[in-house]
Amino acid sequence: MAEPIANHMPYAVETSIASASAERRARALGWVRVLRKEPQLWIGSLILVALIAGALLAPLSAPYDPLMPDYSVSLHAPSRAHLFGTDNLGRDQLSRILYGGRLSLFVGTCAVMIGMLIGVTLGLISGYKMGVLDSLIMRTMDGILAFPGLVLALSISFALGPSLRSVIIALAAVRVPGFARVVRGQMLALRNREYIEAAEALGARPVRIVLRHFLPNLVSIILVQVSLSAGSAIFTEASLSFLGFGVPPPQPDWGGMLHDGYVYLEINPWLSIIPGAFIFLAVLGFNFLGDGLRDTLDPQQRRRRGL
Amino acid sequence: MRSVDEETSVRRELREQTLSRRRFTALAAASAMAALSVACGGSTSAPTATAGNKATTAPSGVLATNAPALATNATAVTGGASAPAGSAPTIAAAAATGQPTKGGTLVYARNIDAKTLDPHFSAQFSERYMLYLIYNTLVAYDKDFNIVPDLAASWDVGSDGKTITFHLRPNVKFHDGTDCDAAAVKWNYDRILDPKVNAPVRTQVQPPLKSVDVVDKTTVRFNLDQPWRPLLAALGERPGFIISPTAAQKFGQDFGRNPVGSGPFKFVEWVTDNHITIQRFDGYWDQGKPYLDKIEMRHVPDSQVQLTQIRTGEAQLIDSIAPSLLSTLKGVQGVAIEELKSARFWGTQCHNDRPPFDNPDLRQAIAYATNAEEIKQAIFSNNGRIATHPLGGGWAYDPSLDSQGYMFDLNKAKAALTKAGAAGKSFTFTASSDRQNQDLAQVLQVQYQKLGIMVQIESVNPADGFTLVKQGKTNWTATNWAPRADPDGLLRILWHSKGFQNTTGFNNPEVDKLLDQAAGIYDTKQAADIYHQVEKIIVADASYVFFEWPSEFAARRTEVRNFVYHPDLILRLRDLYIAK
Amino acid sequence: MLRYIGRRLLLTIPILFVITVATFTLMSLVIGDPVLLILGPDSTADQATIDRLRQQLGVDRPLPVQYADWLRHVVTGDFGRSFRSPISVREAILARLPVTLELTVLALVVAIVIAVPLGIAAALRSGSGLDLGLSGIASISLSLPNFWLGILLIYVFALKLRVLPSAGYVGFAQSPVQNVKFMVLPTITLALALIGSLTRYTRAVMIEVLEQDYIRTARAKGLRATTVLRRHALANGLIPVITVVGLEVAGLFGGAVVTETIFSLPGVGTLLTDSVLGRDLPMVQGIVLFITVTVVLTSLVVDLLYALLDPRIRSLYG
Repeated sequence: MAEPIANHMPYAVETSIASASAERRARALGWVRVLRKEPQLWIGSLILVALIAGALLAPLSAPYDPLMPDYSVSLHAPSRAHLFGTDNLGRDQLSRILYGGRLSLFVGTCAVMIGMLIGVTLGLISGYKMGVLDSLIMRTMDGILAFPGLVLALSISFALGPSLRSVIIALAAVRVPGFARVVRGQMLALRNREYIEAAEALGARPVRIVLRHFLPNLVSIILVQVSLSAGSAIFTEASLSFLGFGVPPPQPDWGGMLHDGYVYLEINPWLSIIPGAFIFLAVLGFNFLGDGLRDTLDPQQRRRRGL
Repeated sequence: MRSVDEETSVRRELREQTLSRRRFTALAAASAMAALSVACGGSTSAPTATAGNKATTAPSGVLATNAPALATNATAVTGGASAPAGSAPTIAAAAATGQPTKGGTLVYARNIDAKTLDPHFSAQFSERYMLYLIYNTLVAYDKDFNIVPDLAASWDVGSDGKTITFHLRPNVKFHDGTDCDAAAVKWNYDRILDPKVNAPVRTQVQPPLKSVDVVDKTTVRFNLDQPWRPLLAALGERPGFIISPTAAQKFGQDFGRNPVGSGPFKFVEWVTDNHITIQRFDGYWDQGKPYLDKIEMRHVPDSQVQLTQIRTGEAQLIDSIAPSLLSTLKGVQGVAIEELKSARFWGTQCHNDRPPFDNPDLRQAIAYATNAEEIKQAIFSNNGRIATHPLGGGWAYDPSLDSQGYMFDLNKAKAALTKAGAAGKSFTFTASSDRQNQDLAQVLQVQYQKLGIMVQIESVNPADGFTLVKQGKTNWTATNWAPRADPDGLLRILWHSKGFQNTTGFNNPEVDKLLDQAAGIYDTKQAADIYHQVEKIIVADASYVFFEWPSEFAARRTEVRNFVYHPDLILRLRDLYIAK
Repeated sequence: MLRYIGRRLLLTIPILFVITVATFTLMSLVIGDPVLLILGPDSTADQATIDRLRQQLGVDRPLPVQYADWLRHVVTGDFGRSFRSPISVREAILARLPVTLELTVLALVVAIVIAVPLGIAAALRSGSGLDLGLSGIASISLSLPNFWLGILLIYVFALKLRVLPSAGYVGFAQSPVQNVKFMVLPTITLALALIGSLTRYTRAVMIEVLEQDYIRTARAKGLRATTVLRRHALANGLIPVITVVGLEVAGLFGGAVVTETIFSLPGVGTLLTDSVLGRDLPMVQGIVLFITVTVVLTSLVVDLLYALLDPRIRSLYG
């Protein structure tokens, strides 16, 4: 349950809004020092860099074709020929993990980007306009938040049928309210700043005010949210796959591999343990990165939350 | 409206049979499984060599001898049942114990999807396990789908083939004490045939069944529009169950929850999503039977839990075990594995009436490029038999066809592909998103890649899979069908131009003619010859490519004896006993 | 106080409205015709029959009308009938509910019992090695996929050590001992992430409370830390922890779906996944609605409870 971080810890998001000096501070500290001071940040970054590199370099580093069956070696335990063993069709698990990372990371980030675009837009509108439109948007977001992320994703993919597209839509929909809320909250905090008031007094167009004056101040908090959301999205994607409602084969993804391998837990446990470990690492990487970013940008928060 | 929920139930069934370790792992194996259960009915485990089984007059060779001796039942009858090495001694032990012992409760764990125990309204798979215990059918099947007696001790077919006269066993009572006689049988068919009752089983007997007359207390005559051998097979399954008219009238709508029949066990209770319990009927016509006091069918949807329960002895019988999970039972003390070389065929189907598969050379190329040996290994854990034609069992099965048709040959395949001018082209293969179908699709994708065509896999929700096939929205997909008691069943629905499961545009006037002709022939030998011709035409067309008749697996505690695996895949539990 | 309750209740109404509209819309998006779905593939029904059925089901009317009609039934607790099973959706949910309740309540209790002391310990020694260690573990547990944890537990305890069953369920009334055996692994699986977030939360709340003036005064007067803790901090600090329950309830249900599936518990979660598999539209609709409404109502109750317990809010609204 990685979700609670993003959705159910109001603290995490709402108090971090407070600091506007965050960015400046980060710049002043310099990234190297930040990395040293924030173990979470660099551990998270390191994990993610490794995973992304593995996925991108899969065509070079994968020892076998991830889709090519070899029935003579089906369900082999890890060995020197197959470091992570083979699945029921005799396909090399290491190669599938490497290629699977592409899909898992792609689906997760893609969903977060879409969720971010929609969520931030709604948040900006809501936070700037206030009034009826604000209530309408925010009550809708509250309504969506009442759905457990997995249940909502499950319903959406139920409605749209099994495909890459519907999984991405489902995951993106789950992420929208988080962004909308965070952005709106931060906008409310910024509203009374002098430069905003000045811009409004000068009669600048709303779109300009939002884009020129609000948005730049929202970047850091959006960044934190993106990172935490990516962890959640990957987790939810894997859960969907695990339940059998994920991206359909033949392209492997970690959740799907775990789902397929689970059948053989008694015969070849590595088939489910290894993909699960990679899902764990990816979620951990994004969560560490997100927590680290937040702590860097808002040290007040860090003391509160610990580590 | 033949079976509203048949498909779901069958899918569930398949789900269990396939790879599902958990309820979700293998989704339903959708595709063409739909009416699987429609025509698979079946017998009790044969009215064995006991009293009351008076000499039966075998009308025109339909009736085969049944009655395997009790002592050998455990091994011999299962149609090729063989036990894995680990459990061999226990099987031998079972066979060695001669005399059945009475008493005891059998706990049988499976996924119960039952909605009603009114056989004429039954549509779900698991209902039939219970129906065969609570009721008798007019006739039953043996392991080769030969028709054998049940309620009807014998029957004669009129010289024009348009009447069948059944001679019922005398003194048969329903559980409520009323007589199960000719009047009761007639009442049952009046009910089934009444359009107002709208029983789902009606379409299985009508046409050609017109009416049923009472001749005397133990004789009924069935009047047909035309000679129709497959009717006999239908009377061995859902349309053949005889219910108590008194009870049916008394309970009305609720009869399905208060079933009363003449079978060896009477209904005790049914707790939804939990269990169905039945107990020995002391007034059963077959003296000395049944052996068990009680049978509890327990709802255990998850195959992994079923496996655990059989290991611990909580359950004494389970079936539909995925081959990939068999190894978890090997060497377990007190558990014996039963195998049935089933005649369910697996294959692919494509539309031969529209592009691109209207090109016979392309279909041939694909048929030759399909490596059944590899599929058997990869998808069926190397169990079962390689299929090359539709009928893999029963009296119409022709082993000589096993070595004909399109045997894997990549050179011939490539030659045909070149002739078709389709080399390098891309085709869409629709696969249900369950485990087994996805694995299969990926195996085929690689095989056809070697042939020289690209296969795009389109995944669909298992529950939608068959609907899409029915609506003609898929062009090329995997399919599998369980055998029917009468070969007409499967061949007609899939390959007759008017067959209601004809989803490939298959339209061959000769096949239509041969099928219609064969259905009117009561002599199974004669009919079988015609079916062989039909099969050859179907195979040659290659709109269906056949590759596997998989094995079915059940497991029992070794004290459970007399186990018989039926070719329609429904377990008949009535003659089981628990060795002391 | 009444004003607060009134405001809170008013806020709930639009949320419930959004939920029902969202659920209804989603389900009407479902590919395929519900009539064909009901008839099944073997149907030989002609067009007239199909039209009649469509009319009977009311799916030929405009969507808003269908929604209003559906809502009217839902409000009275009528979720419709399952496509696949002979019982109504409500009956099906109620039959499965005890298992899900047992699982979630057990997980919640276990999480509170473990997390609250850990959180307090970390807060009391804020910045120490213990604090860092606990926080680190909490962070990691939040990233641990529950299905993976479940699989690992099954592998170790059920398949290797063979001390606990891997899956299945026996009712408490049927056999308390068996029931506990079956619930151990699922409870751990569901509770772990909760332990992580609760520990963090308790720690944060306690640190805040410990910094309040009256606690400082108490400490300055020379009272021992444990005494301060017992007398003052605990009472005030733990009230906010209640809110966490409200915040986590959605996550709990989501986790329950996965947990029940792994361990094959016959709860609402497995009913949902089964129904999705079988494309049992009324069932999916009913369960999704049930879960979300439960989430909303739980957080409502928790908020009200919190308001009752917390003097600050009480005074705020007079």
